[in-house]
Amino acid sequence: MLDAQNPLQHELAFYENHKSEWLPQYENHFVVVGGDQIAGFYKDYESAWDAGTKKFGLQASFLIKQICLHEPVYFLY
Amino acid sequence: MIITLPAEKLLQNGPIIKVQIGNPSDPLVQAITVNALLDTGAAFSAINPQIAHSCRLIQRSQKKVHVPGNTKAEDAKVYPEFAATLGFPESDLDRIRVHGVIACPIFETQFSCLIGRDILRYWEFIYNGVLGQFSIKDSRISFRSLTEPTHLSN
Repeated sequence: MLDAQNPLQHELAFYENHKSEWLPQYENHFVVVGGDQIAGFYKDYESAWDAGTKKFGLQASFLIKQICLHEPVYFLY
Repeated sequence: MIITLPAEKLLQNGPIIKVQIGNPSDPLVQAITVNALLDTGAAFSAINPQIAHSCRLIQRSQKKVHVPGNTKAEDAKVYPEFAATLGFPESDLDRIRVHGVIACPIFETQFSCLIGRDILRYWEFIYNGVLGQFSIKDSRISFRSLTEPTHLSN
């Protein structure tokens, strides 16, 4: 489900289109995507954020997404 | 950090600490200090959307979340995830330089942030309802030593 207002709509679509290619090698890693460019795959969020800000800029829009076969549903109780 | 409260207050409000939320992309933006509930029932940490707006946090992803009141799995909604810096004033807990937090409405007056299991995984958290006391110890150094490879040099 993508929100029309979502600033990461393009990157999320890019992720969905490439997820199956990345899963075998990078399941549970964090991928960093800005536009159609990838800033790499990382084992933790902090490293992914560092790589994204280095490649795209601190204030730039980019996606940090953990690669999962099925999109998890998280519970807040 | 050990916090001691009247046992009744701990029963009523739960374990609450101060959290300072900052913008890792713009250190000039004033960080905001809010109350946060230590919530073992939350898979992820969450903040009220107003905080993300005030700190001008940048959205980095989104997550599908099931919140109280949802009765069916399909009721889960997608919420934005922002990168934030988390500090813990009035405590000896180490700052978290950058971390993903979900922005979803928290309809409580006592707190506007939930510290979920994504952060609790780094801490040893002991709750003593009899004494009205809870304690938190940052175990990130020992956690890292358990999970990260050690590079040995000759």
